[in-house]
Amino acid sequence: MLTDEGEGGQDKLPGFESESGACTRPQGGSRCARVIRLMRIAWFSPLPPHRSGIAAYSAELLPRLAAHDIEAFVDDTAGHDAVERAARVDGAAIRGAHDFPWRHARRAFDVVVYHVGNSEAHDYLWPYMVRYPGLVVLHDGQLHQARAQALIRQKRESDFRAEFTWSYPDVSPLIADLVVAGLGGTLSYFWPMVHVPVQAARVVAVHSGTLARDLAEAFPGSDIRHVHMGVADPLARALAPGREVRQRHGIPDSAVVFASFGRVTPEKGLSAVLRAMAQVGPALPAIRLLVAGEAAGHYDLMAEARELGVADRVTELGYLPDAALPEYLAAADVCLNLRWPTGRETSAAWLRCLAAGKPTVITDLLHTADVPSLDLRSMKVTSTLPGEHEAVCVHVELVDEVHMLRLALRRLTEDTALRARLGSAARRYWEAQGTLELMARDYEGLLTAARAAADPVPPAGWPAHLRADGTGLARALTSDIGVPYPFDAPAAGRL
Amino acid sequence: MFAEDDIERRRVEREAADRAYNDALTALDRAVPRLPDLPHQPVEYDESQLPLLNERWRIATADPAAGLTGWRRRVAMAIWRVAGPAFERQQAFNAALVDHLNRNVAAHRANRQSIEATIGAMRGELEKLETFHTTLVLYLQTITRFVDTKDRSEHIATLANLTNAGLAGVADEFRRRWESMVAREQRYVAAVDELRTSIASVQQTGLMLKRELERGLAAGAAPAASAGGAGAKPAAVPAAAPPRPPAPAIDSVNAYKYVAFENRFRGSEADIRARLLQYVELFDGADNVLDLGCGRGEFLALLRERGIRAHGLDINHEMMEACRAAGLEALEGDALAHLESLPDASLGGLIAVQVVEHFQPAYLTTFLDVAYHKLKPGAKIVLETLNPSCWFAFFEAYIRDITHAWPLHPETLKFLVVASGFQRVDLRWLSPYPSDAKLQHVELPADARTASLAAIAQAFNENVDKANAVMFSYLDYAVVAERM
Repeated sequence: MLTDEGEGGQDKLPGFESESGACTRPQGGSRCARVIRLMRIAWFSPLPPHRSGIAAYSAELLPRLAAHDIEAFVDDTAGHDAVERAARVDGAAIRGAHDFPWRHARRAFDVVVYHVGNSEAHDYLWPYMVRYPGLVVLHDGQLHQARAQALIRQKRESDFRAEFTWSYPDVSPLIADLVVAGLGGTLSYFWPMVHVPVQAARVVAVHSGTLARDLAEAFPGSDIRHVHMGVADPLARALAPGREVRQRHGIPDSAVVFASFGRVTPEKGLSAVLRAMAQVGPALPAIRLLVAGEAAGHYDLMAEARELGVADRVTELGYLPDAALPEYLAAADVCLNLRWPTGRETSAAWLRCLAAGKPTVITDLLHTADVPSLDLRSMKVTSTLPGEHEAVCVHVELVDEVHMLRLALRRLTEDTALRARLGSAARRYWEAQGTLELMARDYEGLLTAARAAADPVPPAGWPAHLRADGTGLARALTSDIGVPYPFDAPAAGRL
Repeated sequence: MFAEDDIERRRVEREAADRAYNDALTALDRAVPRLPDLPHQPVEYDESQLPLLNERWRIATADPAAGLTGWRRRVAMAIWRVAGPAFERQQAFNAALVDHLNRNVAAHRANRQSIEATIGAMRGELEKLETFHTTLVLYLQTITRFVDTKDRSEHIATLANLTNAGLAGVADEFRRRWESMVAREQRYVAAVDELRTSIASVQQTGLMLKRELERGLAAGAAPAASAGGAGAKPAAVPAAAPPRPPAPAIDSVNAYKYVAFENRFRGSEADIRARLLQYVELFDGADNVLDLGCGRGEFLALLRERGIRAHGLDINHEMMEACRAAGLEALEGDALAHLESLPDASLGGLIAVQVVEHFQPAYLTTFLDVAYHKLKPGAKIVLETLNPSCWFAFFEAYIRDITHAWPLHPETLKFLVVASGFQRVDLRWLSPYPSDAKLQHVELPADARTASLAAIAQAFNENVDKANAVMFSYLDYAVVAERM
């Protein structure tokens, strides 16, 4: 946090905006240390205790941006008590999203940041995002399912059809009908529906270089930027010995623990892991699978494990608080970070494993192709980056998934030296690519760019429901009592 | 997916079930009971004689000699004593019989009413039973349609779910394969890039060997030609450049004429600047770019605005003066001589717009060889020239300029650039001939459209396309390449 060691009445530094009344006295000092805020920022994101990766991401990042005056706006659609329930986050004051328009009208924010993902936790911010353009951080390159569900849940099928048709004018509108009928399924991935957030944004940020390139090609008029994804160092505090965790769950010291962290869904590829375990199991009795994460209602991992005869070697922990993660990381020998299908998101869970110096097994995806990874079939390191590299992880191709997982289980169980090499390389990769400091530094650039950027011009054919500002009723009420509507947006022509 | 014999088996089963159902329905219809002939209502009990019987049952009186006196009375009493008991027994019988009849009147009446009610109730119930049966048959006929339609909609829903699941499966499999393929492709591209680098290194080695060989040959030839006398010591001869091909030149006396020519035919400074704008981003991040044939310095100015350090070279003195007046760094001289004077790998980029067509072939190939050595790895070269494969460009533009030395077909220039060691060679087509000025298709009026006329029009239009392709395509092109 920047401070200005001046008197309370001192002039503002050029280009800086001081927070009125924010004056603190340093311990034992007689001068007033006035806090200087760089920018006034509105931050739309789910926050803890919401159990999502993006909530944890914001909670980790916000303290690093505390030099700014940040107000975090959470979903209060179901009532204002959501604000009280939200965990306190350093670096930001927490408010309900409904409070945003009047606060913005009273004192405009320099930048509004929207964290957009493919889950209903982000539904609430869409109306603000199209009405108050800002910095859109696209955590997923695939928003079709969440957007469709949000609109269909609100009985706004026609709005969904309009958005789909506008986004994909060359695609049959029957696809939208298929989705409305609940038959979209995997097909949704062919049409990711990111057009609205991208074209409503001043600046778009993504954590995947591949996704940034794809978006820049698809939306040449938009400012698309790639920023580092960062996570805190899990080794920053002393870890409890992994042995305690193992004992707690009856896992012998001699076991080689493959761990998976994050919500337990079919997308985590654990079914393939179980099949591979069943195939190599008799030869490798030391293998144990540790699954830490809240189980999705529609997926019964243990039932599958029982069916495959490996349930005695699988430990399902359920939801794991963030604070407990480091000791479980310490208990793991290898981390499994498989993912399919993908929205091209960068996995914070994977970065945490790298940061903990663990060898990891990842799915070979387009947006991770630049990560130097080991192909266990040929024992060659592959990467799209030029030059020689040390392997950071092991990759598994989707078209050869179970076979490559078998190789991974076998090789990583038996080859302790390989595990150690991969773990060291993983830690170095995190230090170079995935620290919170890197991400915070990138964010500073993003925020500056977003503040300087102009609001986008509404694209041709912009669906009518995205133009509605939601103030129809309020306008009618104020009109009835002869009062002009007081919260009109200052800029004309904005979205 | 159902097998064909499976579908046939299901059809046969379905038809058998249909038949069985219809037979059962017909049997049920026939089994509807007809209303039976119920007995008539009981006739009424005949009570007509009862009053008379009640009136006449008494045949003996209490005093059989009533009204008689004297002997008559006595005789009568004597006779009664003999006959009286028979009469009294008859009267007792009569009394019992009439009493019995009187008593059974009520029972007969109740019985009759009961029989009437029973028959009525039975008729009503039988009528209801008949109605129930009829309704049952109608119900069963209705339920057939209901079951049929319900079965159809469930079947459709099942099919839709199966189709959706199948489609999702296919889509997922497709996407898995696509994802793996593109990830592999990315790696192959990276591998190809590494191969390019290796090839470039080999090419570079070859070109350097060639240059050294030429120098060695030239150095060897010079002492042999000049030494003359026997026993002369061979002097240490510095590596000499091979004989340079003749440079394109405009004598200084006529330089002003070319400025006027340029102004007349190449367009205004603003036009040139607008068309050069497309090349600026190619040099983003570069340093020390050479603009060969920089003319009035339009491109140098664009680079300067972008913060890219650059200098120009032109053989035309008047042009140089124009550049210098604009504060741009520009030199006057021969392209090849200038390039040769630069250290190897010192240029961050090279652009020559409408220049190479002024070079003789030998000069051009040497120029490309030297340019390769002078550019840094990763630097770009851009060579824009008139497109002689477009007839209009050749006849109306190329031959108009008397300083043009050799027309360069796009494929020829591209080949020469590749042969000089450059990679990532890209051919860009520029200055499309205006569509409305090209030969136009004929459109047959609707009322004149016959098969033969349509065929003629189609042939004509196809020929128009062919003629346009060779005569009116792109007036210029550029070869963009990279020194790896």
